[in-house]
Amino acid sequence: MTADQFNTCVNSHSDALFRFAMKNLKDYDEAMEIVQSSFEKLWLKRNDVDYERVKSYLFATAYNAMVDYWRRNKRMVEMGDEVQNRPAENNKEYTGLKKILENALSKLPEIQRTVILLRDYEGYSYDEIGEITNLNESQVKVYIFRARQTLKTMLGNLEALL
Amino acid sequence: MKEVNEIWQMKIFDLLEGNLSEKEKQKVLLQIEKDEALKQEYVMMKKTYLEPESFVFSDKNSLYKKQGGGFAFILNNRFAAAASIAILFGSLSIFYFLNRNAKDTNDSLSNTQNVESKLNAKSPLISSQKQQKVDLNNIRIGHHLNVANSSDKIKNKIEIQDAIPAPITPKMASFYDNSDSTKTNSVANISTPDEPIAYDTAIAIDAYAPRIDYRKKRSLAYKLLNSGRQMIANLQMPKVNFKSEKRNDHLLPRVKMQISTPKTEIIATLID
Repeated sequence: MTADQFNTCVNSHSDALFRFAMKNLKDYDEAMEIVQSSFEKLWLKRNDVDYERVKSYLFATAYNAMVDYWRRNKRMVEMGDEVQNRPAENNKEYTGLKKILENALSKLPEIQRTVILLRDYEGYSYDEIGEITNLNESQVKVYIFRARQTLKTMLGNLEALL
Repeated sequence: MKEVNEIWQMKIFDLLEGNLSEKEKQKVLLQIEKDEALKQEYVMMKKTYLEPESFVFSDKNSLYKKQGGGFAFILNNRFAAAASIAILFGSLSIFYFLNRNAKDTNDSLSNTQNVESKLNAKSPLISSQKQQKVDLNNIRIGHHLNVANSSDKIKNKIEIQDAIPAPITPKMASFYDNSDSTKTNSVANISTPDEPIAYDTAIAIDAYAPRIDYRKKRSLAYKLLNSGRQMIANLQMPKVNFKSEKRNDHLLPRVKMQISTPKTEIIATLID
């Protein structure tokens, strides 16, 4: 991959990658860091990564970084520390479908949230999502189905309250 | 309301996901039209699809590469962290040697000059007046070796040590543009144009430290602090502050070393 191609990738994918990280983590600094480090890894592996598959590579790298982040945060929570910047916050008031959905999305298990984000925002097929998340196609489909079922229930409950 | 069974939930899901053939699709749609519960299920399931939302990654400039495989601004994090620490020690060493030279020269001057020099050095106002003699924006290493008298030499040496140019990469420079207010404030104290060392060093360490394992980093941080403290003690600098902070979002130690010299303040921070 040439520098020009790399720069094209930055223009084409950095926004989407940032959205993916932000929606998953709700942590601006961490999301910025994940985008930076994903492109950093891409540049280091530029001779090995197929240019046609750069986007998947970036999302897979970002996903792995997020898994590390979640593990690290979980360890900290288990150690009894307080997490002040965690994604899901229960005490906010949400109004409107978008906000309700945003709230519901943040409460999904990480893997379900990830597959939904990749499916809806990036338009990836089950197969492609599987490559990014190390799941097979059936698992991806099941996770998406479960995620939508959970979201549907949460939306129903929240809409009933409003 | 009638409960929709899982088979139909799956069919509606497949319909919305685009997994059905045209024939199956028509069949399911027809059934949904007839059944109010299925219709309700369809409407609710459809609401779970996220609407397009655009985000902008504001730090693209730091990612761009120069044509021809030029210097890669994005460095390996571990390497960069190590390099950052090297930069800090390098900067401190320069401070040490220049300050020692200044001290040696100062010994040969009268007590009056000595006191005046210290007072001037402690006052930013007086210090800025010295810039009338030497334009700090145009300082390059070596320019001030040909000064007129020994008194100026001491003062200018102080200026030189504050103004040694250090490269600031776009990544470093832009890092703080998107940082939280604490970090921005830290840098705001030191990021004046005539203090590039402090700016570079503080940013380098702060920007590149995040990916290091926090135990290693903590160990590094304390080594750094201890060495820095010893070095500063030898220099007898007028103000040295050390403090440790805890960063809220990572729950890991944020160790901050703050060194204030007459004109320059270095705030080196190791965070996760």
